[in-house]
Amino acid sequence: MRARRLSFVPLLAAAALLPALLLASRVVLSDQRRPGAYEVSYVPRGKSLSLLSRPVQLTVANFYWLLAVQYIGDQALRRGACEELYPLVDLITDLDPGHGYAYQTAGIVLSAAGRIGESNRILQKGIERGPDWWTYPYYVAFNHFFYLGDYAGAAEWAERAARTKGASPNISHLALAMRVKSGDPDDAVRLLAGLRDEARDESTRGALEEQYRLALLQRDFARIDRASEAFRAARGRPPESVRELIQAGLLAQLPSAPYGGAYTIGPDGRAHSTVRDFHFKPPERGRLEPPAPAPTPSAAPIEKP
Amino acid sequence: MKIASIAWVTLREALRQKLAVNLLVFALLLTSASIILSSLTFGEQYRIISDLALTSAQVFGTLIAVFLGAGLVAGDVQRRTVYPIIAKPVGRAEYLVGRYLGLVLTLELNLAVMAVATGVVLAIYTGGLGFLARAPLAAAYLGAGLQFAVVGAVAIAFSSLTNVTLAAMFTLALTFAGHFSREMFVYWQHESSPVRALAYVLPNLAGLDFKVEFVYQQAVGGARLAWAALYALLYVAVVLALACAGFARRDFR
Repeated sequence: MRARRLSFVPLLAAAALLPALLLASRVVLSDQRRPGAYEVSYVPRGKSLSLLSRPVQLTVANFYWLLAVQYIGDQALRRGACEELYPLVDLITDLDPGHGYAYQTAGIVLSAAGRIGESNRILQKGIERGPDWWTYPYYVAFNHFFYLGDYAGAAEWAERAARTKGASPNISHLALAMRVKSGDPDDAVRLLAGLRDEARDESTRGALEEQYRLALLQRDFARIDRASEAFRAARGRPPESVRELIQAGLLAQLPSAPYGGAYTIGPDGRAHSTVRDFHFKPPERGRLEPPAPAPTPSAAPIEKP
Repeated sequence: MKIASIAWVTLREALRQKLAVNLLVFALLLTSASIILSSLTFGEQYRIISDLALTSAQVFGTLIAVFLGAGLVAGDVQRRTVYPIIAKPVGRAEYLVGRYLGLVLTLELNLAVMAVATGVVLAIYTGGLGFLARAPLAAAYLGAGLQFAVVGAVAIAFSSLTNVTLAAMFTLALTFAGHFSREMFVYWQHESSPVRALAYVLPNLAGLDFKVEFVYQQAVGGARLAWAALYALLYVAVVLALACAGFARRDFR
C-alpha cells in the first residue's frame, strides 16, 4: 500500500514539471524557427571530407544535400543572397559527382539570386563531371543570354545543349534565334518558358517562374518603348499613357503586368511599372546589375481596373 | 555435425542478446524513417531512401558483427565456459569454425530482415516492385553480406586471441581501415614491398560495397559479383585458418 502511494510521488512531480517543459519546448522551437535557422556557418573542404568519410561518402553527400535544400528554402523565404549555396553544392558534388539534381538546382537558384559566375561554374562542373544532362549547357546559355548580354556565347552553349542526348528539338531553333536576333526579349521569354516547363520540382519551378516574370516585364517594356518612340516620331511629343498608344494603333492591347499593377509612361516617354519598375540592362559583358527583390504580395498595391 | 551444433547454439545465443536485437531494431527504424527524411528533399527522393536504407544496414550490421563476434570466443574464455567444450572430443578449430558459422548465420539473418524492410519501404515509395528490375538490390545486399562475413571472421580471430574489449577495438579499427583500401593501394604504390603488402593484409571492404550502383540504379555484373564473393571467401578462409592456428597454441591454464 505504501509502495503504491509512493509511486504517485514521481507521477505528481512529472505533472508539476509538464507546464514548464511545454514552455521550454515552445521557446526552443521558436528559436529554431527564427529566420536564419538554416544559416550554414562552415562548409568543409570537399577533398578532405571525401577522404575522411569514405565508408559513408554518399550518405554524407546526401546529408549536405538535405541541408542545401533547407538552406535554399530559407534563403527564398528571406530573399537572401544564397552566399553559402555554391560552396555547399561544390562540396556535395565533390563527394557525389553523379548528383545531377544538385548541379541543376544550384545553377538555377544561383542565377535567380544574381550570382551568375557561381551559377555558370557549378553548371560547367556538372557538364564536366556530372551526368550527361542537356539542361546544364541550356541554363548556361540562358545566363549568357539574359544576364551577361553575351549572345554569341549563349548561342554556343545552346548549340551544345542541342547536341546533347535527349535535348528538345526546339533548342536548336532557339540557338539559331540567339545568333540572328541577339537579345530579343521574346527569346528570353521563350527560353524561360521552356526551362520552367522542364522543371521537375516546386523549388526550381519557383526560381524559374520569378525569372520568367522578369523577362515578361522586360519584353513589355521593350514593346511599349518601341511604340512610344513611333508615337513621338509621328506626333512630335511623347505619349501620356499606354492607352494612348493603343488608341493610336501602335500597341495591340494593354499588356497585363506580370507583377500586378499597371504600366505607365514617364515624361521621358519610357515605360514604367507601378509595382516593379526594374529595367534590365545588359550593357557590359561580365557586369551584372542584379534584379531588385520582387515586392512581397502584401506590399503590392492593388491593381487599377 | 559438431560444427553445425556449435553454429546452431551460437545462433540461438546471439538471437537472445539484447545488443544485437537493439541494433537491428534501430536499423529497421532508420530504414523506415528514410521515407520521411526523403520528404525533406525534392526531385531525387529515391536516392535518399535507398542510400539511407543500405547505409543503416551496413553500419548496424557491421556493429553487430564486431560486438557479437568479439564477445563470442573471448566471452567463453572469460566466463570459462570454453573449458567443458574443449574438454569434450571437439577440436579447437571445430569450435572456432562453428562459432564463426553461427555468427555469420545471425548476421545474414539480420541482413535478410533489413533487406526485406528496404524492399518494402521502396515498394511503398515507388508504388510497386518495378524498382527491382532497375536497382541491383540483391547485389547490394549480397555485397553487404560478404562485408559482414569478412568483419565477422576478423572479429572471431581477434576474439580467439585476446579479451572482448581489445578484440572489439582491433576489429573496429581494421574494419574502418578496410574501407580505405583503394586509397592505400594508390598512396602506397611507390612504397617498399612490406608497406604495399600491408594494403593486401587489410580487408578490402570498399571492393564489396555496391551502394553507388544501388543508389544510381546501375547493374552489377555477374563476374564482378563472383570475384567479390571469391575474394571474401578466400579472405575469410585465410583469417580463420590463422585464428585456428593461434587458438590451437593458446594455453588456457
